[in-house]
Amino acid sequence: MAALNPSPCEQMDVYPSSSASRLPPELLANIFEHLVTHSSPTILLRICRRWADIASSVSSLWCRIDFSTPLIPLLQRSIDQPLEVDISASPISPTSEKLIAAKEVLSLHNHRIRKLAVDLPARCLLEIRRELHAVFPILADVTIAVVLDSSWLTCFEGFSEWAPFPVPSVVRCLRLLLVATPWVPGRFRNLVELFLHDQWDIDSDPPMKILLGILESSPQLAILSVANAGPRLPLHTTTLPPASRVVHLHNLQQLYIEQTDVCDVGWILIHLDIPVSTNVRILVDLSLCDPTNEPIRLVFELALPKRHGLAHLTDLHCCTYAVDSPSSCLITAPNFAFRVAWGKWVHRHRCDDFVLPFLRLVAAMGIMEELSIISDVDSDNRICQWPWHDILGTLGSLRRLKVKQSQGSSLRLPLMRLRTLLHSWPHMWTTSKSGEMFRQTGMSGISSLDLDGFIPQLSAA
Amino acid sequence: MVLLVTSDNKNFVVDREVADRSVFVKNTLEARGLSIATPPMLNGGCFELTSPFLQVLEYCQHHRGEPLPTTDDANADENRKRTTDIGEWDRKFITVDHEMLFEIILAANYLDIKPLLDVGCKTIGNMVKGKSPEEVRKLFDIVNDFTPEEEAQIKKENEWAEDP
Repeated sequence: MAALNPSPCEQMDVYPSSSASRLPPELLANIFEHLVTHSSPTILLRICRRWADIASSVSSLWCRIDFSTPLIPLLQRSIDQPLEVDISASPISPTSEKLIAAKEVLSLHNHRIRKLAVDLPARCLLEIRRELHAVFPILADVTIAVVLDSSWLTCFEGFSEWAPFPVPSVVRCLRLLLVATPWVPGRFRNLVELFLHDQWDIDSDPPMKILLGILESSPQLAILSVANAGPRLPLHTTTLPPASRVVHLHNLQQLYIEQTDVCDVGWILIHLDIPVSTNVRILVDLSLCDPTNEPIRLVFELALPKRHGLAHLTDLHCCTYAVDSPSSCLITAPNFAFRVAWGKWVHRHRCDDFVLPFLRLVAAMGIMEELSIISDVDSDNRICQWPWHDILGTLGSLRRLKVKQSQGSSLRLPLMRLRTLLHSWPHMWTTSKSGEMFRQTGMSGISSLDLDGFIPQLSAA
Repeated sequence: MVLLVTSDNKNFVVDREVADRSVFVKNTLEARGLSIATPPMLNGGCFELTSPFLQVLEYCQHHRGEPLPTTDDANADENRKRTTDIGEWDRKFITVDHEMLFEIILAANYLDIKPLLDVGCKTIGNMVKGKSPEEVRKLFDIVNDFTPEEEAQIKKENEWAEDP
């Protein structure tokens, strides 16, 4: 890079007015490339002649087509660069000129579209579907989603026709939301990222067949996200059916599963063989289930290193889908994490019912190193009233304890809550030496205590 | 240890691991088998480099030992440019006045320290984001050298006719 750039002296003579003018064109172009990631490059044409000249000459700045600016100048300036077409960034209606332009780009420039994002109301999606059957030889990144609007129900039947959508085999990233899987056996051998969200057709009979079929033919898969797109076991299932087959995903780095019912999560998990290094995140609704049920225990047990190789469940996020002001209880460990969040509705009615049993379950595993309690103003009192002595007394492995408050919590709360909280462990505060203060409860390993910035005067306790 | 000499003949003795954060210095040392790097441009006396060089050294020392970005991975290069996130330490580090920011960018470019160059470029990109042309000019003290007619023409060419 150094050899290519002219000396800054050469630049200074021509544009002496500002610091920015000292930057050589290559560096300004570099800055522009960072800028256009989230902004339209057209502003660069309006600053000064120099910026306009440089911006116009860098074809890579003009490859992102989001229909917020006229098409012809963009296509001219992008020359023959691969295009990123985003038909979701700008409001488009079925009668819109932008929709006509979008169809034109898809049909006339299909050969150089590398990335395609379509996130539209159902009617618009159906309008452009014909153009999506063109050949896209370099298409590597596809996102197709339906915006739920009033036209959604009337157009629903059309979505099943997405199935034969000829997604080219060179696609590496495929994200589908509310549209059917364009599944052709063996087609997606190059897939690295796969997002299947809100797909009703995927839980056909047998429920895991389509999903497992996709996964089996994608040996390079590194990121898998399945949200409301897996099996649908009957609610309140107490035992899981046996796995029909197990898919080996040896390159998987990230796994995200979001299902309403924890049974469905368990069922997906027992079908997968993934490396111990995989980062696993799970979102389930715990308010719907009985924490003593076998599927719940299975999900927890799957996080343990000795079973199924799932050593790195990093975030199990359990919540309801009605969370409006989430409070959280976050428990992490090197090989395990358990996150509970709940909204006001759940908090009032069932918070303690399902959070406490899980806290005890995790405690019993004896591997938790960090406990972080995050509360808001509504949950402070409840959290303080939990039987912390019983819970924490079993946490011999705990090393770090954090108490945090989320937004909305009263500024006075840290001290008040802390006192209330600590009243439940009065015997813990008999010494000023942090290494000893938990000795009486068998928690002598604690080395870090972070109480929302409040440092208690332990010696005076 | 490596001796680095700036344009104003200030000497800096640094660990080889720190010096190697600069691909330019690394290649120079490896090619010549030297332990002293005197970048030729710095000897030209174009501008004082001691001040930004101190900043650059601080950056290199903080990030010593981290893997260097590969030069032959187009996807990685693309991903680096696409993210606007800046790490907490880097953000504090790059919170300097405009003059120094541009000096650091120039130094990072010359010394071929891609991660630092990215931090500088992202910072400026983030500063420009969401601003009007006039605000950008004011921010960087740039003179508007367009005629009113040219401005109107550019604006017209780049505005999409609103849907009815």
